[in-house]
Amino acid sequence: MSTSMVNITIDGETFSVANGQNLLCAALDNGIQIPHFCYHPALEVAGNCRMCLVEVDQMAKLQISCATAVRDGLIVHTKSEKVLQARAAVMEFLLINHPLDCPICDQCGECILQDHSFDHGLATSRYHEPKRTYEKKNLGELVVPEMTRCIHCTRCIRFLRDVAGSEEMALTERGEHTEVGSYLATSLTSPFSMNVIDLCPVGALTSGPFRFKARPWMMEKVRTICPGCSRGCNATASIYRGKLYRLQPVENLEVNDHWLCDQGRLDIGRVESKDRLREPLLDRKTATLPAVLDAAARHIKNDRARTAIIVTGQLTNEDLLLIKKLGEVIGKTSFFRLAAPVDDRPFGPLQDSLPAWFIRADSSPNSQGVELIFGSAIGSLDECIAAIKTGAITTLLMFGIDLAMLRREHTQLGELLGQLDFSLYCHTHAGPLAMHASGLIPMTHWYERDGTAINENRRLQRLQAALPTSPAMLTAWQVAAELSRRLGVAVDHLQAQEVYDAFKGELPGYGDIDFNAILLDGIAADKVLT
Amino acid sequence: MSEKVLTARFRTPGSYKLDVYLADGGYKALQAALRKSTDAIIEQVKASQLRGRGGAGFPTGLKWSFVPKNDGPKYVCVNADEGEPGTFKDRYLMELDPHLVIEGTAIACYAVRASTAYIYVRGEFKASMERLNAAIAEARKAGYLGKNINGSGFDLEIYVHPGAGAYICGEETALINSNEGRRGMPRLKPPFPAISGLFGAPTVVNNVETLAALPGIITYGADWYAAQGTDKNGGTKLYAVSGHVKKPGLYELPMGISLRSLIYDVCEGMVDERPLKGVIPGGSSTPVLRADEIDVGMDFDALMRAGSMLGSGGVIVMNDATCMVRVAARLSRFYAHESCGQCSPCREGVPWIHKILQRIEDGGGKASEIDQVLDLCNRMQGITICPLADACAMPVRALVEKFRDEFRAHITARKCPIGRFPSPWNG
Repeated sequence: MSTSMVNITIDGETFSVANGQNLLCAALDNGIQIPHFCYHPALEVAGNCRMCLVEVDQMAKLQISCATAVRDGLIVHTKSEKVLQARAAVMEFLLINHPLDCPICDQCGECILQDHSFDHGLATSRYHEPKRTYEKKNLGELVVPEMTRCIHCTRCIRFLRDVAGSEEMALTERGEHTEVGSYLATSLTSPFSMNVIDLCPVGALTSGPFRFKARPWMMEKVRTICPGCSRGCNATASIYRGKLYRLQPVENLEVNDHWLCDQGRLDIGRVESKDRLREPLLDRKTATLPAVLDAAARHIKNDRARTAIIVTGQLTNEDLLLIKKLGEVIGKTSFFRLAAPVDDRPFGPLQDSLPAWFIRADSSPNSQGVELIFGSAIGSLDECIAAIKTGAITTLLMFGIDLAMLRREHTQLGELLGQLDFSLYCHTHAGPLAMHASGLIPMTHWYERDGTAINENRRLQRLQAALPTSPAMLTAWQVAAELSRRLGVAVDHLQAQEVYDAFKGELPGYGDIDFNAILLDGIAADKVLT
Repeated sequence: MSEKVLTARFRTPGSYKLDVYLADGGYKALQAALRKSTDAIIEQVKASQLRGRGGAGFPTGLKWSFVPKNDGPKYVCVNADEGEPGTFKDRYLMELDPHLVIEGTAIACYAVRASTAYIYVRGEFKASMERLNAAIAEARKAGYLGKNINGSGFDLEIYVHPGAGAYICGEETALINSNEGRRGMPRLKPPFPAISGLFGAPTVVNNVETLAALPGIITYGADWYAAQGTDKNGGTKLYAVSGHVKKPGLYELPMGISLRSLIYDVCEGMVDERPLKGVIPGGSSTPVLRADEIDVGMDFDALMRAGSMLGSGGVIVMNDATCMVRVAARLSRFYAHESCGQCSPCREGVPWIHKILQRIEDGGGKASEIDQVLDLCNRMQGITICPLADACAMPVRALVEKFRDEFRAHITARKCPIGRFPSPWNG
């Protein structure tokens, strides 16, 4: 069913737009800026800020463009005298009770009220009465409110009620005492509560973890993928002086709509956590990378037939492709993985509220990559453990598996490492179990690397390195390349994109395009992959 | 033939009881209506030139004709919120003649094919709700409500739904929201209630007095009703007169009576013969008229031409001892208190205007603030979700423009020149 197009005229220029959509959207899509606060494409229209008023021919009163449907022959003026006066009026009204908090407000620099005030407001005020304030409320540690700044756009209310499915915030009281807050004096419980921070057009709802840490104009934003689960939410990482300060969602209607879950935002703390592996270790003592790699290569050469490799969905496609190549270089290597949990809930678009389908059961960002690259030629972790016990495996390479995160039936893997001739543990974090390994190589974190990953919906997406790495850390594919070289097969790739381009034939279904041609919002699989 | 179709039984003992109502010909109009087609009823109401008595004056028959004629639930909401300051007509209809209201509601429900009606009564009207509930029970028992009324195949249940103290719930979409159990604040229009109202179904919201006129229209005919009033303003109106007149009270009179006649003839003139200073003709949201402006017919169109409005017909008469600055401050305080707070101009603008006016009244105003108040009224009007901001802006503007000298005097003298109220600014 195709959408019919209609012709509308805005400020004398005619545009062909899809019938039935609201005028504000149609204008914005055609590059015409109509200021607004309360409208958001993913939320029900509220029409309460009155900032998007425009003049429509044959209508005596100004109309809010967010609630005006386009129709053929609609004639609109967005810059007439009446419209400009109305905008100035709305700005004045919004600013009379708004505190001059910019110097101490986290929103400064990315504040819609600031922006529109600059364009449509006055530098002076003729309000000489006391400003209305609200008592400080506690919504928990993640969303810190400063409600005196609130302009009552109700985006947070609409989001929590309609999208996140937990009606935790509402309007109470009336008139100028109208307050946006929670019904009860409790923390927000929704696992998606932090989205209100991005939605809030002012600094009324701020991020607790990010509070007072950096100014938006100081930070560089890098678009990447969240590694928290197999949804592969598109996000931008905000970086300042080599530190990751926050994650914000990027709109991708095929993946995560406009949202991120709280857990994904908070997990950026793992990059710098205490158990981050920072130095190579050999026999529990600090060693150089070459030393560990040489030791590993030596043991592999000794017993190629009984060398095995564990991979996980925590690795990128580039990692998996070169590790598979390494397996061929070693000989007939066995591969093992921890099976990804099956998630039979729909992937989306929104059918239920967010909690039902958004956070996927599979906590690995690239299980589909493992499926595609190894297919059925990969065993389970149980089989690996059994093989170690029977002595069928004497040398084990582990990439991307966190021994501390295994379920009870698999934790013996850590203890069994002592039975092996040599075990190599390559991961970002190392707990006590990892110390049983002979050699440990620090792996670069997902946020520190370029590469590609395939989400649960078979979408190929790109990661981009947001943070610098240290020379002591390698990606899994770099480790595989080093081992391969020591086993006599040179691998000349220096960057992730080179790996991808060399091996893209092994990733069918995404078109024959180079790494750099993969758009940042990903590629859907173009046929059913078996 | 009685000319009073609304107040006919007000002085009859036990007027609110079914047997008294029936003895006076009650429910015959409903029976007659049920024998006609719904289209015929709508045409008759259109021809009667009945216009909404809640304040907007929208032609009732026309409003009904917007309701789709398909199957599916439809509702009538009776607007008994009576919140407009100066208005006290609906409460007497409900207290003294609840069956009239019920019969009128039933006729309206039949005309638009609604089988459920809610009478949304402001929460403070306990007596009205008691009388209505008792009358509904009587009517059900006697078969004038419930299933298959009078063998016509028409079912109707009427419920009383109490409000909880908000003037804004007199606005039809805020009323609908409150009736649904939601926060009492207006919805965006379109969609209009006739298409999507209560629970998303087509809904007609009518004022109590509007519905109370329907039995008379059915009984005496549309032409008779139209002839009672003026051109395009048919019927009789309940004028609720309060203030400095000798005989304040509720009067049912033909639409269009001269305001001068209402004050000096019907209400027998000013108390203590003090001179008239100003009259608010239709409830606090209507612009004030000066003493030299009272030669105007009290109907929708004539008052509109005179720069004011009939509104609810709540007439507030003020003599020369009234301080118009205090009137402005007090009225704006009402609107500031009652704003639902949803949209920016009203939420921020109305309290601001009140605060300035209060300061002027108290003697702390500045000369530039008179024009500032006018400017704020102009900026706020016409850009809000509902007309509450306009309801504040229009009367304030009229008071300031027509009595500017009083405002100037407060500012210059730093106190009220009439001297009735002490000023905190003078130490």
